[in-house]
Amino acid sequence: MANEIKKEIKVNLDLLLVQRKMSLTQLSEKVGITMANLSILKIGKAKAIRFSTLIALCDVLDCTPGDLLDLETI
Amino acid sequence: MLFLVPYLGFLYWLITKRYIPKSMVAMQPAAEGDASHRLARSSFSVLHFIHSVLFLLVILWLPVTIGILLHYKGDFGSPPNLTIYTNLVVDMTQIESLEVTGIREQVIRAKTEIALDAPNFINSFIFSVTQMIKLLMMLFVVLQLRNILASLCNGESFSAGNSQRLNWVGKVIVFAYIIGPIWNFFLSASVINTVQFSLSAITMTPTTDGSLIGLMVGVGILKLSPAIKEAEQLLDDQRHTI
Repeated sequence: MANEIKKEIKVNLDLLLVQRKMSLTQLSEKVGITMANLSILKIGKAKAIRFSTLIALCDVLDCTPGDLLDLETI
Repeated sequence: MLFLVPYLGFLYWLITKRYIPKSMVAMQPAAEGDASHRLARSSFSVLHFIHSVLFLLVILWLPVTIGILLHYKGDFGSPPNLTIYTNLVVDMTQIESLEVTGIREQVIRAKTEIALDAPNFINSFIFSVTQMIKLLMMLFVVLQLRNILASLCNGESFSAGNSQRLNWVGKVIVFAYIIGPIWNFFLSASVINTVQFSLSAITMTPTTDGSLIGLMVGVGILKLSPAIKEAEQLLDDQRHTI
């Protein structure tokens, strides 16, 4: 039986925060998302992301969705 | 009476270390002024009480049965005797000395008959064991319903645990309504000593006491279980959508 290749979406929030020299608390305040939800996003436990959230994150982090999300093979 | 000491010790361990922490969902007290789930909370209290009574009966059954066994002075008698007569056909036309031309049914087909001859003491014991099994099933169902209500009041109505609980309740109800009539049939048979199957009209004596509605309720609950699981997954997806 051939091994099935599994893929997942990785959120590069860590990297972008370091590049923008911003803390999670600051991002939370600017975007208007709770720290708990941002943590879920950061540790990769999120199952979906709303367009409105994506737009708000891209606005604050000054990036594109492509910079924020990555497709990875497990 | 000496056997009661280890039994009570075992019960203490079972209830405090296993039964309460692992089988019973604790209900969080309602916040002051919170009137939500009032009916569920009342139903929970009723079920909790019924559960306690049933649990007490289950606990008492073993020492009472052993006590009766130890103090029984009469004769235990022989083991149950089973005799079966079947397919008895008498063709009266073959009996030369018998004039049967005026009789409508010239062939007598006897019923299949099983004679169960059990001493009264064994009957009582079998009856007691079957009642105990029924009681255990009832206790299980009441416990699961109680737990579902507790989780409902705790705000976790759609959970994998509730789906599993409903699944088990459905399985037990279906099992009880399929096995129950057969059970009743032979249990009554062991008391009245004779079982009859009349194949022509499919009648059974004693009566089987079955219920199709009960069976349908059980199947309905079984079908409801995957729906709760689906709802739980949807809720989980929603919870993890940022």
